[in-house]
Amino acid sequence: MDKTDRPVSPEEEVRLSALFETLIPPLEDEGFSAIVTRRIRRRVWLRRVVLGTAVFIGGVLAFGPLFELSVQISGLSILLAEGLVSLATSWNDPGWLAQNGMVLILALLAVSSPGAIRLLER
Amino acid sequence: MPVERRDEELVARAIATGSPADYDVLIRRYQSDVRNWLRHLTGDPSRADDLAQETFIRAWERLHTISDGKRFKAWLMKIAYNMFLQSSRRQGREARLADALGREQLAAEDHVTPSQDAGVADLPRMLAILKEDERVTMVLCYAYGMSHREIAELTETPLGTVKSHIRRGAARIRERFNLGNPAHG
Repeated sequence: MDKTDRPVSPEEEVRLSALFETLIPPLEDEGFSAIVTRRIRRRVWLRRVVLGTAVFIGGVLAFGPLFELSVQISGLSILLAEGLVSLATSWNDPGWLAQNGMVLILALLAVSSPGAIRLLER
Repeated sequence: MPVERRDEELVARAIATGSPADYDVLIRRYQSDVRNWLRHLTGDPSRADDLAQETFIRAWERLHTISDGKRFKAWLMKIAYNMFLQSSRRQGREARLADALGREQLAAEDHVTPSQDAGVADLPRMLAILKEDERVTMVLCYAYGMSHREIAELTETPLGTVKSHIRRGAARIRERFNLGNPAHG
């Protein structure tokens, strides 16, 4: 039987393990772990500072447009409410569509927004 | 006496809290194995320790990706191996060639006859006669006690190939050394 085909016998397994284990003598820590932990803590701290700064700067930059957007939304909300009232009182009037197009657009946006948000998240 | 927490507990706590405190225990637990592994791969203790530091930092950054905390050690050893490969690629073929030449010279100096019992002193020559893949596989198997499947995952080698490396590596050693008598080492 060719030696290359012979599986390693249990006795050889034990012998090889005993020999090869001498390759990995226990190494004293000698400050290695402390150095690594310090580097990791520094990264964690740095990441928090960077993220916090980014959020702050982003908030500052977005404040103006966000404020304007909130004003617009509140205006649209009032418009939507008036439109809904109008719709409720004149839904059987054929001309209501032309008069209440904004209501339809907003209704479509409200229906499609969850899906749009999910798409963006993906 | 404080209870030694298991790897999976420490990993879960480290992920949950985001604090390095629990991870520090894992570093201390496996720093010897990782450094030894990299010393064996690189042949340079200083470079090995640098790579070992990067290994633990990379593992920290990817801790949330580990699927089974019980296999933390094998996962860590794989990261160490990948760090070594990346470093070797950066250093170029020169470093690997120098290492190979050194091993070839050592293998050529082998004068042990098969009748002599293999001892610890013969280990460098034993490693020198092995091919690189066989050496890596046998070290992981017999020094670190990793299973064939773990070695296959670490080295991204088919399981059958791992078993073949071990069989052939053992055969090479068997041809030149006597593994039968555990009198030495």
